[in-house]
Amino acid sequence: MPESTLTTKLDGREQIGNCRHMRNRSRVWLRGLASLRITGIVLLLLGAGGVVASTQSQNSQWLIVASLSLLVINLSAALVSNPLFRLKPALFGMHIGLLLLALSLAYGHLSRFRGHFEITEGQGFDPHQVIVDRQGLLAHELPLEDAFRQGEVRINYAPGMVRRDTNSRLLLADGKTSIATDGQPAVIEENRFYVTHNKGFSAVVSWWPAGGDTASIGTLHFPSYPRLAPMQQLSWTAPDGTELSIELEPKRIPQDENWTLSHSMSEALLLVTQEGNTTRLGPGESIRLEGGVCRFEGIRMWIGYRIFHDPSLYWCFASAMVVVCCLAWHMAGRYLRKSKRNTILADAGRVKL
Amino acid sequence: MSDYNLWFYLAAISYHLLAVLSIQELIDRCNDYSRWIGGLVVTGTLFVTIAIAWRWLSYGQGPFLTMHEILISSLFSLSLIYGLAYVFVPITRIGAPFASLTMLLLFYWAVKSDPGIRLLPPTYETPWLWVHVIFGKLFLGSCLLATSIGIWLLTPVKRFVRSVRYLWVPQQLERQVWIWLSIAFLFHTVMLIAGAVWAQDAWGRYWDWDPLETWAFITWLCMAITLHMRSVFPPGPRALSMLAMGVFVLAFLTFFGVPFISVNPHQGAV
Ligand code: HEM
Repeated sequence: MPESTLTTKLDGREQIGNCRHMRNRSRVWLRGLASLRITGIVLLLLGAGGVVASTQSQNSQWLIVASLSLLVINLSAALVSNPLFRLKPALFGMHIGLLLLALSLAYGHLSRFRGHFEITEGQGFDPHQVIVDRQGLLAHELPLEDAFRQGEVRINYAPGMVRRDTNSRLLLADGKTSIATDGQPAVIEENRFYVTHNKGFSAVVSWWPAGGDTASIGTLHFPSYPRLAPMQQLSWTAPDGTELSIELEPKRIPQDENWTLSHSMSEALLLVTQEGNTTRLGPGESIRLEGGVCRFEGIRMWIGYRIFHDPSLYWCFASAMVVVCCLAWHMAGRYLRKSKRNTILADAGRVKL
Repeated sequence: MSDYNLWFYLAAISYHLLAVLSIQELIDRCNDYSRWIGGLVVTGTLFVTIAIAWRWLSYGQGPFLTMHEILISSLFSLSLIYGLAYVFVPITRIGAPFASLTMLLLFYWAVKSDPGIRLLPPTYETPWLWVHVIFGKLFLGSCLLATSIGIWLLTPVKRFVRSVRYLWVPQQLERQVWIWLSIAFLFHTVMLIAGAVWAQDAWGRYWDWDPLETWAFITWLCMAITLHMRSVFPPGPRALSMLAMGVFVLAFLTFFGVPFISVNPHQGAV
């Protein structure tokens, strides 16, 4: 055999040896990463993250994200390298479910949007009015302007101030109606609109500038009702700079019968105070100021919404269900089969006796 | 005395007798009181059921909100679950003293708490309430079983138990602790999922680390760690018993302690 060939062969053998060595080394690494000791530590870290999250929300996210990432690495390594998972399909399925759950949670974390806003009956949705509470890096756009128009708001109360169900009607752009109630958000373009218990009266006012420029219309939100029932007043600076104090007179809250909160629970009357002089305004009446005329159009209800969007919600639920079903399967296999075997053994013992 | 109190106190008599007889049963070599004990658990459960049904029919809503309601519904569920286990799984009978003391504790606590009614918030009108609550009770019941059996792994059974019917070997007791702990873990997982779905619909977030959620999650993690330890550092009978007790104490404090710092079971959320 020519030397060169031999050399090549030897090189080849050496390479095969190296490959095996490297494969063994990577297997050792993988086994190390898959250690159940690491799992214990990671689960403890996750618990610590939870405790920190419940006391202070700012710095906790990183601890949770870091421990979830470690969990994903540890679990993936175990799923690949632990032979036990090949022997126990239910346990394997359960841990796959856990892996999917961790990934869905991570995706949700990045793509979640949370915000809140207030809107008055008859007003169109304006995304610019939404105050952002939380917006992930991959969060999508909010619905377009006028995706819906706020319809009637009615909140039922038991005698006194015991809140029962809230019903808020949303008139969608396609002409359909959607109702948001407690425990059932309105879903528009995959955004979930939740009613909150923050609501109250709103005065609709229009402003007619003295120069004959185009009039504008807007709403003034009074403090939350009935929580702040005795404080139904606000200060407003008109477009011409005049300082006004505006007060509303709600009707008496029934103490001995059920009642419904709607705009009719307030007298349609505004008490407008300017430099110590108070004027009573009914709907359609106006007050003349230096730079124009302010007209009171009527009383409506405003309501606060929480807006939430998280594309991972269904994935989280589906993977959690995989976890539960596979866990039940694993437990049934582990304990029911064993107790059946024990019964058979016990029966065999009895036969012998 | 109202009908509600009457049924409630009749149940209390059953639980007191149960506590006395269950201790007597373990130390009496000759007599078998298990039928009496089984009967007492069943009657106790029946009386609590009637008391709760009476309250439910009078007020038109179930016991889901106030501390008193949480205590009486837990008394019902623990009594029912332990009663079923007592009748159908003989090895669990050794746990009767611990189980009956737990029921008495719940009874005295319920007597001390305000029995007044508060209207259920509208967010409670959902089927997820049932899934969440039922699996929560099943979880606590399984934990009670694990602990009431596991407690005998801390002290040699032979030192206290005279009745030959209860001289289980530690391996048998240990296996039972593992079984009930695993079942508790499964129920707890379902409870957390149902709670998250409900919270998403009711409050627009599925998890917010409120004290109840945080402690429920920590209890779940403790169980997950315990189940994993089985193959890495097998804990041995005593440590296993301590772990089971730890999980029960955590669960107990989560269920009955956290509502102390909040008017509602979930802080601030109605
Ligand atoms: C929150 C995360 C986790 C939960 C809730 C969980 C839950 C469980 C449960 C309930 C069992 C069955 C125990 C039994 O049969 O008694 C189990 C077994 C197992 N888990 Fe996990 N697990 C988690 C994460 C992990 C991770 C990250 C790994 C990665 C190494 C892992 C590896 C294993 C292995 C190898 C077993 C089999 C143990 C044995 O029976 O010998 N688990 N796990």
